[in-house]
Amino acid sequence: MSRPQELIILREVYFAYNQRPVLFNINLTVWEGDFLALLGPNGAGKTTLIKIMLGLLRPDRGEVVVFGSAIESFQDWHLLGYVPQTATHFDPLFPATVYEVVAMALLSRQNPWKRRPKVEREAVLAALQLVGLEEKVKVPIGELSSGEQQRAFIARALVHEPKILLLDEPTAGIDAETQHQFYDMLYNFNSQKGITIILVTHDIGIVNRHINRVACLEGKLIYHGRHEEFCRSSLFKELVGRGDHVISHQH
Amino acid sequence: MSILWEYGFVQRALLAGLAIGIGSAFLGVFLLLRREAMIGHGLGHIIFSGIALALFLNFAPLPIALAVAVLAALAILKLKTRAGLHSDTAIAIFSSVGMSMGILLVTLVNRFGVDLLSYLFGDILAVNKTETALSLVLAFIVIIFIAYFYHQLLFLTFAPDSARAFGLKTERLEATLTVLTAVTLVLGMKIVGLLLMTSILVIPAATGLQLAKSFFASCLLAAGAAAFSVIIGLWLSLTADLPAAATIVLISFVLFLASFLRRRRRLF
Repeated sequence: MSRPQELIILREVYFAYNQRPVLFNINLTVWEGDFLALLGPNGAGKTTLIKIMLGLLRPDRGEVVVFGSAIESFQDWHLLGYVPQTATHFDPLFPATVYEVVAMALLSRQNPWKRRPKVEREAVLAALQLVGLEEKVKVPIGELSSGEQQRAFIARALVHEPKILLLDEPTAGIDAETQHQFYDMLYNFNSQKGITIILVTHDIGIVNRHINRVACLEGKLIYHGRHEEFCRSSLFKELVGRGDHVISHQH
Repeated sequence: MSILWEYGFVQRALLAGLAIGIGSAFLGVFLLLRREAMIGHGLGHIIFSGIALALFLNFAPLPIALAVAVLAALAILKLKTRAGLHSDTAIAIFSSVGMSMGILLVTLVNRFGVDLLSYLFGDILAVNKTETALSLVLAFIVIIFIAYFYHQLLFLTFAPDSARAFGLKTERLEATLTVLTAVTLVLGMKIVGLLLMTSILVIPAATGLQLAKSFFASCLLAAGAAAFSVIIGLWLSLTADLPAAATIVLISFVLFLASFLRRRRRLF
């Protein structure tokens, strides 16, 4: 069996906001097929690390390699789908339908003079079908529930068929049952469609049964490894001891 | 209504008004959703300083005002993106400096007369062939820009972080949008005047946003509201002998009010 490809490599990444260090010499590799949970308390640098992987922030020191290219020269951003922490913080009166929200990502990369409306429509509807929103095509995005909005943003990230999906605390403010459905959906994307997933969260319990790799961040990377090993580690026991709700269940 | 195409000067006024009105409405939808409604007001003050500078140097006002407006628009953008200032702060700083410079230059040249007043209040019925042609070319450029970059602009407006992560050249898009706004304001000052130009940029777009359920429909309704305001406003001003610019703006406000009441009835 061939070795999975290294999709993102961080080497000795250091980052500071206005001389205040946030990330210290992070070494992290994301492999093809990973469902990686990026864990850590508030202020641990999880969002900063995701933004560095996406090229939205430049590290002060260190190296970032994405799909084999140094991030400075990387061009194929459509290979990465991103759902930011603030995705649902948009103006609820913004006059865009669910269809327009998903299509904006797909059509942004296309030459408008060479459009193929039928193919585009099928791609948008297929992405909406993946997240179970095919009935909401014409509904204004502000009229959806938080859980549905988050699924619409996942559809927008999936519509251009990325290899990696990066999600920053995607279920904040969503009820527990919807969260479970949401993570089951992500698990299916990972296991059935082979999409590598990087998920930022500070709630280990809710994602414990979906992930296969864990990275724990507190400024420094204090753990990076396979999920089963993480469950046997003293850090895991410490998290359980701290009262985090942990369900140990493997698919 | 025949009064609108009986005379050459009215035809030019109608064409220039429609061109600036529709171009402004399209730009306005993006500006309003990006919370940059006051950029028209701020740039208006800066353009005032450009006209004062032209009068001071005894040059033609249009090219000087255009250069000052474009440079200021780009500087506002730089302050926002590089210095981390909020756009309303950057606009307020440039707006005050622009107005102060304008007042200083006007005082020095001692010509706060007809020339300057015509730019502050506009005179749509006095637009010449060149100004009409320039307005039509500008409207064409705005429409082509928005049509070509429609989805990128929508992405940038709706979700700037995701648009950047997606690899869109967001700074370039923002710069083009701001420069086109500046150019539209300069050409529009002859039509409705600098003092009322913000209303042409904002009110029809706000009307479109009140009524539409999709972004595409918002753009079309904003352009429709602008065109209706120009046609009816111009006709009313000619038949009732009213000032054209103010009548156009008030008609557009009536449309906004109607759309606002209609939306409230739908919501409550």
